[in-house]
Amino acid sequence: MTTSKKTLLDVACKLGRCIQENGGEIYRVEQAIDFFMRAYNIDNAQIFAIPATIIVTIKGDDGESITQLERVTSISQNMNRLNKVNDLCRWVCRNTPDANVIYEKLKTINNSKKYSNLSDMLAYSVASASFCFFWGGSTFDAIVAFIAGAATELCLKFLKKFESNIFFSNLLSSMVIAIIAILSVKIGFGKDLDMIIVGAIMTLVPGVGITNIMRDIISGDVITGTTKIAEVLLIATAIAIGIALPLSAYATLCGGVL
Amino acid sequence: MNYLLAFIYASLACAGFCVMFNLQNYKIAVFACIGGGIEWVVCLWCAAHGGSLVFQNLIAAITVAAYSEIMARVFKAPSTVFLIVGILPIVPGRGIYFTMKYCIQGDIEMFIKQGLDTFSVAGAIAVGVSLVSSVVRIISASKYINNKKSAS
Repeated sequence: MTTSKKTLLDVACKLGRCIQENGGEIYRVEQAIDFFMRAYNIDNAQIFAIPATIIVTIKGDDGESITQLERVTSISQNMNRLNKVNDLCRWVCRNTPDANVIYEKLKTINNSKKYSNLSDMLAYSVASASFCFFWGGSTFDAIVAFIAGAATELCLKFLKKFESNIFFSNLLSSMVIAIIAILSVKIGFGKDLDMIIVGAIMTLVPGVGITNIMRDIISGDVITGTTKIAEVLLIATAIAIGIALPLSAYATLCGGVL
Repeated sequence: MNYLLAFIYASLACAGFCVMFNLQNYKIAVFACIGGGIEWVVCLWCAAHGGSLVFQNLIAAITVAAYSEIMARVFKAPSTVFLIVGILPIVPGRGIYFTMKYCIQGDIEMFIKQGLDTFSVAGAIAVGVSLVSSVVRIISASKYINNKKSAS
């Protein structure tokens, strides 16, 4: 093995980063780097990861400590990539290949195809419409929810372009949902305002957060857990405010019944 | 028959989210959706047999967490993939909406009731998931220790 420890450290950090950016839990990041270091016979690696950063320190070739810090800025749920990088980690730990090989594979994973914009939009629409059915909405309600879902996706994507924060983008998206729902009821197409909104906001509700918080906390990452609790509460508040504003405006200005 | 319809609705609702989370492996996506369906049927069954709101969500969360751990072993994929898709039908989006609605209507009594319900459902989901993954952790740790013993 000729790869220097500095390169190995960099590879390990990039692997961890790829896991974290695509929605892996924190303990998975730490575990992956730990296994990686053990596979390459590096003892006593110090790994620390929180939602925004990964810090790894190991003993270098000349006995001095070397540290690398990775700042993780954007976290999204991309299960395809998470799956692939998970497989890559297993494979690397079993075969201990050269660093260049791992870099190449990571690059292909990071450039792997996402779903197209249209299918993304359809996904939001279908999810909204079927959740509308699911909670007992009529066919007309589901059609409105279908449109609202597409609008949500467009709104989220538009705001992401301007690097809007998580609070504002959720607030604005849920406002769009509420406005569409109110308009449809007003012109008499939609029947049940509640069902349309409930179906459509399911795409925004932080279900991923709720499930991952406890998994993080029980694996010992209390810092991560508390950070995510704050995030979940923030998103929930944003959704509530976003829906509440148009609804109360409708009730007061147009005399509509909630 | 009722349960079959509920199963289909819940699975369909999860299918949209599979695309949203960029789940491109067809087989994994189908099984993740089935997990969501099973979970909702369990939840409904508990409700029909007189389980309280928290209890039915707890049982449903335990079911889907156990299912996703098993499927993760079968497909050699991270269990989160199955879990975050499967958990969606019981995520309290409806609760958040009605809490907010009672709030702006000024119905404080219902607002507090609905708010606490929503909060406890979220708590039940978190506890259910954590119970299963704690048990899985203990099992895999004991396997690891046994392997170490037999190796030395």
